[in-house]
Formats: sequence, structure tokens, C-alpha cells
Amino acid sequence: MPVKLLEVRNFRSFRHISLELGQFHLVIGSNASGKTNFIQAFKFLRDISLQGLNNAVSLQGGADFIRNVYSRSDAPVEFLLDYDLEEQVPFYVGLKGNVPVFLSTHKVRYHLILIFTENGSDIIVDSEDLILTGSICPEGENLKDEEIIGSLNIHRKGASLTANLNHSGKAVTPFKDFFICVPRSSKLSPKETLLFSETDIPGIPRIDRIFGKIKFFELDPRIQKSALPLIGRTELEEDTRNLALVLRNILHDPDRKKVFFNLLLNMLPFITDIEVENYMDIALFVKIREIYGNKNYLPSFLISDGTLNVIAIIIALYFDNSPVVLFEEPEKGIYPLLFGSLLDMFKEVRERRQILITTHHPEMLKRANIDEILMIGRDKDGFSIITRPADKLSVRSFIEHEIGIDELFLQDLLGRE
Amino acid sequence: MKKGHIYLFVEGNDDYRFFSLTVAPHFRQSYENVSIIEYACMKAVKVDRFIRGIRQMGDSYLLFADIDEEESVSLKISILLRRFHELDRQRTIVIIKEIESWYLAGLRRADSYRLHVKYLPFTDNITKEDFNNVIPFQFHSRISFMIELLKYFSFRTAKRKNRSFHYFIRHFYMSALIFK
Repeated sequence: MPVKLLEVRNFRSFRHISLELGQFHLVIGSNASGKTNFIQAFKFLRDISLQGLNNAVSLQGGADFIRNVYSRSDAPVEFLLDYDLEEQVPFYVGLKGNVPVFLSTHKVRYHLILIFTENGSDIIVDSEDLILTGSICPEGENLKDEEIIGSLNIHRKGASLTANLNHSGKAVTPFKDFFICVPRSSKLSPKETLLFSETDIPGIPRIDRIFGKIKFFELDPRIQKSALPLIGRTELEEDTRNLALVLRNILHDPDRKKVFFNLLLNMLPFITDIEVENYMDIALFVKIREIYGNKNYLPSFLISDGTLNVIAIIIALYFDNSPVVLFEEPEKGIYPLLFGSLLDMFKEVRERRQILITTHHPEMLKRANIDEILMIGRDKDGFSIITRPADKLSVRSFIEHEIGIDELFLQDLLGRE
Repeated sequence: MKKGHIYLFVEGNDDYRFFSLTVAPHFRQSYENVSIIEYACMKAVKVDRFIRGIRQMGDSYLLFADIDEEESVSLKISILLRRFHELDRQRTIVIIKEIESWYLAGLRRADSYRLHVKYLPFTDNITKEDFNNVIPFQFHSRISFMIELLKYFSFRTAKRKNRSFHYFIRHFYMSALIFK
């Protein structure tokens, strides 16, 4: 699974959480428990990767909304993320003589500590650690002969950077005549991070390409119903505003169309056709035909919210390649009888992608495995905490006595012991 | 040292509100954890499963039920025991007559005047309808009125004004805890 561990300190409603994650989780909790803040932790790191710290802070509403209001004013905001790559990614780390040396990375650890400026109005980087683990090999050489499993450790404190290659916990020189690429004299400004800097520093792996792929889908049928300008991204946007454009591309390819339509039929068997209409070369909108009544198509503004959400979920799950996908209440607007089919799709896709879903709906929980549920609540001081109902003796006992997870959820019996 | 976990089985929403705001906080002083389970919409077999699970864990429970139209507490308990096979007679508390009577029981004379509610020296015969009739005009919501009553709730007064509440307090030795 990509995100193996997430540790957060003093971010929004969290004082400290350390959470090992599996391939699929349903995240539950009462209103104002911190579910959205949990999602925001992923988004914040993702936004730093893609847009830099300044923009990421701004997208959270400013520095005031980053730190927990109950935390001390000098408390740093901290993130630690362990990320396993599905496929090894080679990063250039140094030179052996004149031959480039690559680290085929399969594991990334990123630790970020942010502090506030003296007047508390701004947030800057205090320190960062980036550890890439994999096999080190000069270009063009046989891996088996010279392969060294080790890690590239880049430490940043304030503006200065240090880097070394480690093997069995010790700094090593893997090859004769090896020079590490990260220049020790490199300087980073307080707003730059190893995830995102204004200028590329040779030797700092571009892990933004990894963290930047974390996607958070917030389905909004009101946006999907409106006509879409012809120009837009081919990847589904997180608010699904470009649904019509992405769908048009899928429907153009007969094989992809077949896959899409079968999945749609599995959920909504009354739909006989789906098309994307080009309106006067200005805008696109989705239209569907149903088995009922005449053979006219229904334009997107007449299509139900649930139908549009189902279409968006199918595309997000099967036609998007983000390794980590988060959904906030994807079941909104969908008839509960269909939740079984909905969860079947999530569970099918979790084999190749990590999926986290927030939900309030007991019907979703009814069909889940207790080990996949994460419960967010508040401790006595008001901080959000995350527990696993599966670890609760009482939950195990009630399930043994044939009480459903949905019933335990409705009776508020899944929280911490 | 605190005891383990206690589960309070209550009928519906009004009961849940009453117990979560009055009784549960006091129980938390002597139990590690207090959970409230609404059973009115639950099948009897499910209540039995809950009780079996609680018993297996070695935890404790109490089941509260309104007396409704039954003639006596023992008759009501017999009905409950026939419905819930796992239920223990000793852990069953019958509310006379309905939870609304407990809401009003905790209201002191001075607080009755403050809320413009007719002072009731005893609430043993109070039904839902009676309760609805005493809601002052300025409360547009029954729920809001109930919450307001609980802000003023006095255990000592409630014990004096309602005999089933008195039984509950005495039988479960809460007096020392609540009135200290």
C-alpha cells in the first residue's frame, strides 16, 4: 500500500496521531470529530508537493487554521509519512567517476516540521528529513553485481542541507570514486521544501511526482449538471467539474466505453445509453437514455444527483490512476440498496489502489470488514483521536454475538474503550 | 477504583437525552465507561444478543422501561422478561409513568417559577400528554424545553418527587455519589 504510516502533530484538530494504514479504510465519526481534518492532512502534504508551502497554507485558509487552537503557540506542526511505491522509481543520486548512479527507490519517508514566525502570522519550515530506500546502482551496470541496498538521507535544518547514503544505518561510500549529488552548500528559503522548491536542486529527488498523485474526490452533482466548457483537463478534477470531458474521452474508445458502461449497468440497470453532447462547440454536457418512456435523452440538468455521482465514482475508481484516492461521503444521493454494488467496486479497486472513504451511513458499514474501519472522535481535551473499533474487546464480543457493525455504529459503541 | 463498562438500555430519544445528560455523567465517576443503547426500535433477539455480549465481557447493564398502561411494576417486569429472554430482573428499572415524569421531577420550586412551569410536588402520574400541556408558551420546541429542564435538574428533588426515580437511586446506591 502506498501510505503506510501517517503521523501528525498539532495540525488542525489533532494533537498527535500515528496511524498505520491498510489498503482500504472507511473513516467514520460524529459531526465535528475531525474526519475532514484527517483528509486535510493528506491534502496539505499533497498541496505542498504540487504548489509549494505558501499556496498549501493559503488553501487551508491561512496559517491561523493550520495549527490546533488548543496547542501551545510555540508548538510545531509536524508530519511524518511512510510511502511505499508500487514500482521502483530511479532517482539520480551521484556519480561513480563519470557514470551516473541511481537509487531505485521503493520506499519514501518524509518528515516535515513547520514552525510559526514570531508574530504567529506566518508559517515556515524548521526542518525536513527525506529518506529514500532502495537499491543503488551505476547506470548501465548489472544490478546483481554491484547492487547495494541502502538509503539516501537528506536532512534539512533551517536553510542548510546535508545528504548522505546510508547502508545498515551507517554512512557509506558505495563505490570507489563515488560523489553524492546533493551539494552541501545548497540553501533553501524558509518557504521552500524538499517537496517543492522554486529551483530544482540537483540530487534532490522529485518526490512531488509521488505525493502529488494523492487525490481527494469531493463529488458535487450541482457542478456536474452544468454545461462544461470544451477546454479542460483530461484527468478527472477532484470536484468532478470536468466529468463531461473525461467521459467523452472514455466513450470515444470502444473498449473503455464497454468497461464503463458495464460498471454503470451494474449500478443503474435502467440506463440504456450515455453520451456527451457537444453544444455548438462551446460546451459539453452528459446525457443519458433510460428504458422508461420515449427514447429521448435526458440532459445533465435533469439527471438525478445519485446517477451523476455514480458516473463520477466509476470514472474516479476505474479511469484515474492515482495510487491513493480519498472520497468524502461518496454514498451521498445514492439509494442504499446500491451500496453493496458501490462497495464491491471500491473493494475491487483497492487491490491496486489505496482507498480511504469517509462516511456517515450505517449501510456502508454493514458491508465492511471491522478491521477496515477507522473511528475518529475527540478526547477529553477536545483533540481528535483515531481508534480502530476492531481493537475494542466489547466490539469483538458484540460482533461474536451477531450484532452488526451498523448497529454498533448507530448506538455509538464503536468508539474508544 | 472504577468498575468496568456499564450499558444503559433506554427506550427512545427522549430517554437517551435524559440519561446522557443526567445519569451517565454520574455513572462515569464510578465506571470506566458508560454507553447508552436505544432499544425501542430493536428486535428483542438483538437486545438479547447485546446482553449476552455484555455478560460475556463481565460488564454491567441496566434496562429502563416506561410502565405505560401496566397496572404494576412487577407486571411490567414480567412482560419485559417474557420479551427479552436474557434480561435479569435485578437489572430492570421501571419508570413511572414515562420518562417525561423524570424530566419534571428534577425541577425545584424556584426553577419552576423561573421557567414559568406549574410546580408539581409529585410526578408519578405524569404522562406524555401532561408533559406537553405544561410546556410554557415561549418554548417553541418540546426538545428545547426538555434540554432546559435538564439544565436545572436536581437529583435530590427528583428523588423526592418521583418514586420510581427514588427506587432507581436507592437500589443502585447512587445516593452517596450524587449527593456528596
